[in-house]
Amino acid sequence: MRMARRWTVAAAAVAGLGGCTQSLKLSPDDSKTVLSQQLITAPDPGEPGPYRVKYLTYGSGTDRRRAAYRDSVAFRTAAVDASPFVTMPRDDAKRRKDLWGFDIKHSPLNGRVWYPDGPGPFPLVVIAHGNHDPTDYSDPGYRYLGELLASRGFILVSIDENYINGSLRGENDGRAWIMLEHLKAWKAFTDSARNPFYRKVDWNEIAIMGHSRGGGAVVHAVQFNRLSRYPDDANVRFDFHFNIRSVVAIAPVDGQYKPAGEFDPIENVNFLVMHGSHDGDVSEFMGLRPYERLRFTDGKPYFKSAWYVYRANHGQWNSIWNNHDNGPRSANRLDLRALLSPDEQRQFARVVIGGFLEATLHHRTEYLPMFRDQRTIGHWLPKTMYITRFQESSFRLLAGYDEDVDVTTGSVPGVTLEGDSLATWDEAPIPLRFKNDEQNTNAVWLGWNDRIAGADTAARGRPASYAISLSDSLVRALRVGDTSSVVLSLAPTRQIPPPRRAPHDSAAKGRRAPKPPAVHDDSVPMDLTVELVDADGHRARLPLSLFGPVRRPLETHVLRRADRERQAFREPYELVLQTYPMPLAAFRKVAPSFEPARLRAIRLVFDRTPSGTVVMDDVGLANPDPAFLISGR
Amino acid sequence: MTMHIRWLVAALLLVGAAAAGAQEFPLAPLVARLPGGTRALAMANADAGGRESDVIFYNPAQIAVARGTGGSAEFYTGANLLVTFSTVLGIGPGALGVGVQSLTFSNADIAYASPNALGTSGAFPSSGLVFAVGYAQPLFGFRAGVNAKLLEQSIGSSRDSRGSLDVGLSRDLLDGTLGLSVQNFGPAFRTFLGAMSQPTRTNLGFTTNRYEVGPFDVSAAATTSLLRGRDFVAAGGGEIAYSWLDGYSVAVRGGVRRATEGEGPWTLGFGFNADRVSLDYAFESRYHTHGAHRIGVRIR
Repeated sequence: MRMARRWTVAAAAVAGLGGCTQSLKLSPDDSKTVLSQQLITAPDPGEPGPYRVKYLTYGSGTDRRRAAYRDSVAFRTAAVDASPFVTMPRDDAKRRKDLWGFDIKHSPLNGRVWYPDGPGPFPLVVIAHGNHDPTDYSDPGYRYLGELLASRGFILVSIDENYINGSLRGENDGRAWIMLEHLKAWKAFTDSARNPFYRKVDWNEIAIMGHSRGGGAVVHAVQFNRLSRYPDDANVRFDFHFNIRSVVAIAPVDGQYKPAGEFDPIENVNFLVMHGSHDGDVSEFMGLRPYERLRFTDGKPYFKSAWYVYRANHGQWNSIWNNHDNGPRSANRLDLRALLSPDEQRQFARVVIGGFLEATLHHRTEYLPMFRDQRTIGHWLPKTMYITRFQESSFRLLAGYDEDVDVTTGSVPGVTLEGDSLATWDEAPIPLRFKNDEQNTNAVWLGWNDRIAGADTAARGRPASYAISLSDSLVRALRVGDTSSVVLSLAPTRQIPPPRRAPHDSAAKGRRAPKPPAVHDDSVPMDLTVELVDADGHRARLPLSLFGPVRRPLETHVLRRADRERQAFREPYELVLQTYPMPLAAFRKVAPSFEPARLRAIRLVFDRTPSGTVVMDDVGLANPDPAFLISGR
Repeated sequence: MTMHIRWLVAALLLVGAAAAGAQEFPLAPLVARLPGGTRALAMANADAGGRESDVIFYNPAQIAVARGTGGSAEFYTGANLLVTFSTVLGIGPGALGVGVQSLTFSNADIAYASPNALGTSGAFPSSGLVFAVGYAQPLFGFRAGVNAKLLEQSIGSSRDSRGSLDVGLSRDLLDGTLGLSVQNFGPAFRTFLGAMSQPTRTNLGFTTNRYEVGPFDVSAAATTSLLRGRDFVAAGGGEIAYSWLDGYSVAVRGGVRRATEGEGPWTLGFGFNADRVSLDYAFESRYHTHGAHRIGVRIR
C-alpha cells in the first residue's frame, strides 16, 4: 500500500511537470466568408494540364549512395568546383568525402527532371531544396510540383544539393552558384543534338525556386546571375546572364549569407514568396525582407506577391520532409495539431506556384488577379486564412516611412502626413517574430480610442484619422486617373490605447497616468474607413474591408511548451501586413462627384471600430495593368 | 597522437601498473573508493568519459566539458551514509571543478575500514572525506585534467588526512569519449596497523554519445580499472532514455561489473529530467547485504 502510494505520487509529479504543454490555440477561421467566391474563370492552375509527364535524372553517373544518379542517369554531367563558396573544417570535409565519395571540389550536378511530352520549347524551372538530414535526400520531395508543372508545359528540375546539407553554415552562396551551374549545364543540354532536351527550353522564360535555405539561395542566384565577379572573392568570375524572369521562395531564410556583408539587393524579377505561420524551423516570415528589398527599375512589367499561410509548416512543402521541422523528434517540441494536412498545404503550393508561373512564364494574364486579391480564387485555395502582400511595377510610393525621422513628410516631395485625435502616432521598424529580428523596414503605428475617459462610458470623441495629402503637381506627375488604385499595406495589432482624456478637464491634474494598452477583445470586428478627397473637397468613403480581409494578428503557437514559446518569440503572432489595392473607380462609383484625377488626400478614418491600433506601410498609387483587375472587384 | 601525449599516457599507465603490482594490503581512506555519482553508479560505476559535474570523481580531464552542479546521497546498511557534492564552472579555455564526498559509518575494526564495513554496523563511529579541486582544459587535441585532493579518515579516536592527486586524459573518439585516469596518488595514511596506501586506481573507459534508436536515446559506458593491490575489474552499463516532450525525459539504466570487496555484480537505476534538473536513483547490489540505494540531483 505504501509503495503504491509512492508510485502514485511519483506519477502525479511526472504528469504535473509534463503538464506545461499549452492547449491548442488558433484564431477563429473566417475562410468560409473570405474564400466564399471564385471570380477567376480560368482552369485551376493547381490541377494537371494537358501534357503527358516524362521523368528522368541526370548527373555524375557515379553516385555511391543513390542509384538515380548512378546507373539510372539519362546522361552524365561534369562535376564543378564549389570550394570557393562552400567551406568547412577539415574533419567535416573528410567525413563528407567518406560519406559521398567526392569532395566539394568535385561537386556533381545531379537533377531530377519532370518534363512535358512535347516538342517545346518550354519554360525551364529549377528548384533547390534546403537544409535537412543529408542522407534523407531532399530533392525527390518536389515531385508533386514537377508532375503538375510538367503537365502544364514547364520543365521542372529538382537539383541535388544534399551533399552540402547538414551542419554547414554560410554556404547559401554555394547553393545559389550550384543552381546557376545547373542552368549553365542546361544550356549545353539544349545545344546538343544528342541530348533529349535539345532545343526544348525557352531561354526567355526561366524561373528559379528554392525552399528554406534554397529559398534564400534564389535571391543570391538572381544577384550572381548579373554579376561578373563573386563579391567575396573577385578572383572568381561569373558568366551566367540567364533570363531569370521569375523567382519563387518557399519558406526562405534570409541573410545567412550576405555578399560583402550586405543583404542582397534584388531587382527586376517577378517574385513569389510563401511562408507558413506554423513553421517549426524558420519560424518567422523572413521572406518579407527580400520582398521588401525587391525593386522594379527597368520599366518592364513585374509583380511581387507574398503569402502567409495560416497553419502551414516548414516541411510539408517537401513531401520528404513533411512535419519534421525540428528533426525526427519534432513531435516532442512542436505542436503539430494545428497543421494543415500535407495534401492541403501542397495543394496551396500547386495553385499559387502554378498560377504564378502560368502568369509570368506562360503569360496567362487571367491568373494575375489572384495575386492582387486572394478572394478571387476562393474555391481553389485550401480553407485556411491567408495574409497577402502584393505590388506591381506601376506602384509609386507615397509613404514608406523609411526615408527620414519626420513623421509629417512622405517618401516623395509633395506628400504630407497628418494625424488627428490619434492616441498613437509613431514610426518604427516592423518586427519579425523572433526576438531582436526585424523586417528591415519601418512603418507607422496608428492607435485610437474614441471613448472619453470618465464616468460616462458612452461618451465618444470625434473619430481619429490619419491623412496623406498630395500636391497637385505630384498627382499630375503620377498620372492619377480613373484606372489608378490607391494601395496600402496594413495590419491591426492587439493593442488598444487608453480612452482619451476629457478636454479642459481640470480634475485631470494629478490624475494617475493612463493604464498601459490592453489586449483587444477579438469579438469586436476590426475595420476602418478609407476616405478619398479631391481638390474640390468631394469625398468618397468605403470600408477597408471591401478590399480585403481586415484581421487581427493570427494566433500562432508553434511549440508545445508555452515557456519555450515565450522565450523564443516576442509575440504569439507574426505581424504580417495585408496589402489592399483599392481601385479609384470603386470610390467614384459610390461618389460620382469625386474626381480621381484631382485626388488630394487619402484619409484613414477610424470610425468603424471604437479603439485599436494598426500598423501601415507602403502607401502609394498605382496604374496597374487592367489584367490585374478583371475579376469584377 | 603527439609525442608529449604518448609519454603522458605511458607514464599514467606505468604509475597505475606499479601501484597494482604491489602486494595486496589494506587501503585508506575508504571514502575514496566509493562511487561519485548516481547516474554513473546505475551504469556499474563506469564513468571515465562522463560529462556531468560528478565526473570529477572519475576522470578530471572530463571536467573540461562537464557543466553544472550535482549532489547525491547513498544509503548503506544501518546509518552508513555517503553524501557527495560536485560543481563545475567554465573558466577560460577550460573548467574548474570542486567535489566533496563525505562518508559517515560505523566500523567494527579499530584500524582498517574495508568496503565490507558499509554492510554492517560496528562499534567505532567513523567518517571519511574527499575534498577535490580540479582543473581541465584541451591540450594537444586531448583534454587533460588534474585534481588536487584532501583525503581524510577517522575511525574511533584515530584520524589522519593526506593530500592526493588525480590526473586524467580524454578524447572524443568514434562517437564517444575515451578516458584514462589515475586517482588517489599520494602518501600513505598512518593507522594503528601502520602505513596504509591510498587506493590508487587506474581507469580506462569509453562512454558513447547518445544514439537515437527509434523513439529512444541509448548510451553506454564501460570501464576497466586496476586498484592498487587488486586484480583488474571491468564494468559496463547502459541507459535507455525516452522523451515525450522537449526538455523532459525518463531513463532506465543498468550495469554489470566484476564485483570486488563489498560490491555485488549488478546495478540499476532510473532518472527523470526536466529541463536543467535531473533526479536520479540508483541501486547497487552489495556483498552479503540487501544492497545500497542512492538518490541524486543534477542541475545544469
